[in-house]
Amino acid sequence: MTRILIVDDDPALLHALPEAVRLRVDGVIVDTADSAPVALERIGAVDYDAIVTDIKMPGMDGLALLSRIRTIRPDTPTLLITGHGEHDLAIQALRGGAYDFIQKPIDREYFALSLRRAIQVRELKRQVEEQQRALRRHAEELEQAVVARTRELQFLAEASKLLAVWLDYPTTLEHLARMTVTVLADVCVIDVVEEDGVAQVAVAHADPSRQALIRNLRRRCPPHANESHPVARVLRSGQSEMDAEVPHWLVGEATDGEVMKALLELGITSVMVVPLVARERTVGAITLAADRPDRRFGPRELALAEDLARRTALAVDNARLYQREHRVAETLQRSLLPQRLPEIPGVAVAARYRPGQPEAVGGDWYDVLTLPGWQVGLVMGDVAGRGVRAAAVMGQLRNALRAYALEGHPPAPVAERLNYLIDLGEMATILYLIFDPATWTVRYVNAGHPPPLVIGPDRSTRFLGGGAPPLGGLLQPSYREETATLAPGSTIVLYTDGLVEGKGANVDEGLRRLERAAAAGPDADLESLLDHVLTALLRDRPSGDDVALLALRASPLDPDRLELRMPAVPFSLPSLRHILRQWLETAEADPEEVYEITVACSEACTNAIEHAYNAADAIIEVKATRSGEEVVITVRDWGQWRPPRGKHRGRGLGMMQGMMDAVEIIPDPRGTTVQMRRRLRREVQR
Amino acid sequence: MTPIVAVKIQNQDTVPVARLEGEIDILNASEIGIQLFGAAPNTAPGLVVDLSRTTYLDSRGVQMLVELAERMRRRQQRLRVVVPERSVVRRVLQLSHLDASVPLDHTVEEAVTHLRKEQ
Repeated sequence: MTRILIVDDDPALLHALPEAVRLRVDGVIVDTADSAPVALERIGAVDYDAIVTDIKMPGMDGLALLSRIRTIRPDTPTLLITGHGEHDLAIQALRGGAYDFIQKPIDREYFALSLRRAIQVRELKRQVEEQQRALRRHAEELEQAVVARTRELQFLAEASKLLAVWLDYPTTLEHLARMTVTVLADVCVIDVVEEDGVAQVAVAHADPSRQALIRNLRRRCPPHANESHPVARVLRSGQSEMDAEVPHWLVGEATDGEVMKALLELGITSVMVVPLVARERTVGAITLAADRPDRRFGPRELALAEDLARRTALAVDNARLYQREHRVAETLQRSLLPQRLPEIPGVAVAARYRPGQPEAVGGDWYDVLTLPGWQVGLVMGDVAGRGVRAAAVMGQLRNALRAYALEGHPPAPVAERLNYLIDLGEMATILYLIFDPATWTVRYVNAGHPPPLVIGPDRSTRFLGGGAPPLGGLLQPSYREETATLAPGSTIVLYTDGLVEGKGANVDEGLRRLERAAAAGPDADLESLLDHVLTALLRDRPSGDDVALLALRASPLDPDRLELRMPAVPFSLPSLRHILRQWLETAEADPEEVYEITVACSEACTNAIEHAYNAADAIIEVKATRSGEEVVITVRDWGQWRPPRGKHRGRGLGMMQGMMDAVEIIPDPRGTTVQMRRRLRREVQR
Repeated sequence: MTPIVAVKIQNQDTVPVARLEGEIDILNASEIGIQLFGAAPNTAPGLVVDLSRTTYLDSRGVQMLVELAERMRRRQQRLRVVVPERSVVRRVLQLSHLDASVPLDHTVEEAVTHLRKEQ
């Protein structure tokens, strides 16, 4: 409906003109005003399609009114009526923005024509504007869609990035849930069922203060407790579920008032659950919920959630495959490290193993061997590479070395044999050292390994030099045995390069740090010494590499006192006799006394081993003291003696009694103690 | 494991002589017993066990020798043990009264001569 306004102070014209317009312009409503202020009032209320005004009016004239109209209704065409021959005014009017001017006396046909044109122009202008507005609106919507889509893509990219640097289940899932609530939903719960059936849950609420509510709700109705729980259903079906309006299945679960209250408090309006499917197996589900009325999940949100779920499932699957391989490598490697170091009479050994990067198992290993004649073999090795392959090579070398060493091969031939054995393309460094506590000498071969450190009884330090190429480095390297004599009471430390090499540190500096740490470390026992060294060297430089440390110390014999602990197995006896003989000689017993006391002690231990035990890790304790010319040997076990059986079984006790001056067997509820005394002849001989 | 004892068997005029070098204890006694029993073929008059290079022997070794002597007796064979006059091992043998059931000699020649004579 077209609507115009005619303004004139002349009542006759104000009456005649509308009539003329109505006759000539179809369907037009004509309003009138007899002054500019009245006109302005109407113009303020109605958006006219055209305005006609007389120029000459008392008070505000037509030109002033035009200028106001241009301000408040710039698009409304305005026609001005001028007196005859008032060309100046007409020009002024056109300059002031009038659409046209009508000269008096008014030619009604011309007037109507001009007015129609004005109305048409106005209409066209309106249409153009409308279209422009529509276009703008469309552009804005498009822009918003682009912004939203970009945000979603960014979110998916961020999520992928997070999933790519998979740390561990709890950390990664927590981060993912937190990331999701800011973009996709107000509440996010991620369930993953691990291979061993353990459920992992990550929970996030856009409002962190409401996180506890969600956690609580999950605790009260966990999916595994209820078959109709949406997560349980999705885990079974592998199909997404969405409830954009009323989360009826959530409410349906509200079996107790507390749960209902929690649900109401959360004010959830929309929920969807998407499965995590990896290689056709559903490994978990992502639950997304909205608590805002303006957030309703639709197909778009579902598609986005499913995209997220696909990426998550892939990452979970990768993490599992990786974990599986890692577990294999780790198990393999750990099973190749000694479960327990052998207890060697009179010799203390301690070891530390610190894995570097948790994600890759290295090929470091150490070993301690009890060799015949109270000798101790120490092994430290490092296979190049990581993972299952390195662990397997390490296993081969470790067992071959044991076999060769126990067959009695000296260090150099052992290294040569291992070099033949190692597969082409594999590389390893090893250090094999034999320590003889009786003479305080070491014999060793060093195939590309860092040098062993010796800490003297005066805390002085030195490295044992002499090196050869690593195993697998040359086809026919020659390995030469190195020897060194140590001051009694020295400590030998073996280690892998991870201890001294680390990131950004050069080896020489690492070796100097090791020397300093070892010299300053606690002297009392080996265990604390190793802890000290590890802490001092790795404190401000966490090593990316694995670190293995092995230390040995033999105490110099005290002629007044000898204390030994050893496993209750026959194999302990040769070493026991060896060290006991050494001690008896130090205590100035003559060869016959040495032999006879050794027999008595060995008999007591044999009885303890044979009669007293079944347990696999049983221990025997032997104490020998000398005061004046009397030697007292005490053998303690933690089992029960059985009465001697068989014709010859009593012989051991008779032997003890025959060799010693006095033999006393003292059983107690926890075990048996045999105490034997013998007076040495040396005082008489002097 | 490297054995703590070496058993060396040689024939002297149809008499097998087994020399035990090293230590004999619970770890290896019964195994050595089997080895020694197998060292004397049916045709031999018996076996000489030479302990002159044995550095350690206790009741398990004595027990092994007593049992070996019994088994050989059942096969109509004799066991003689060589232990030098000043050997530390001698005291163990005396204490266990091994000499009551197994004759002791000071030298291998002595033992071999005895066995050949008894044949």
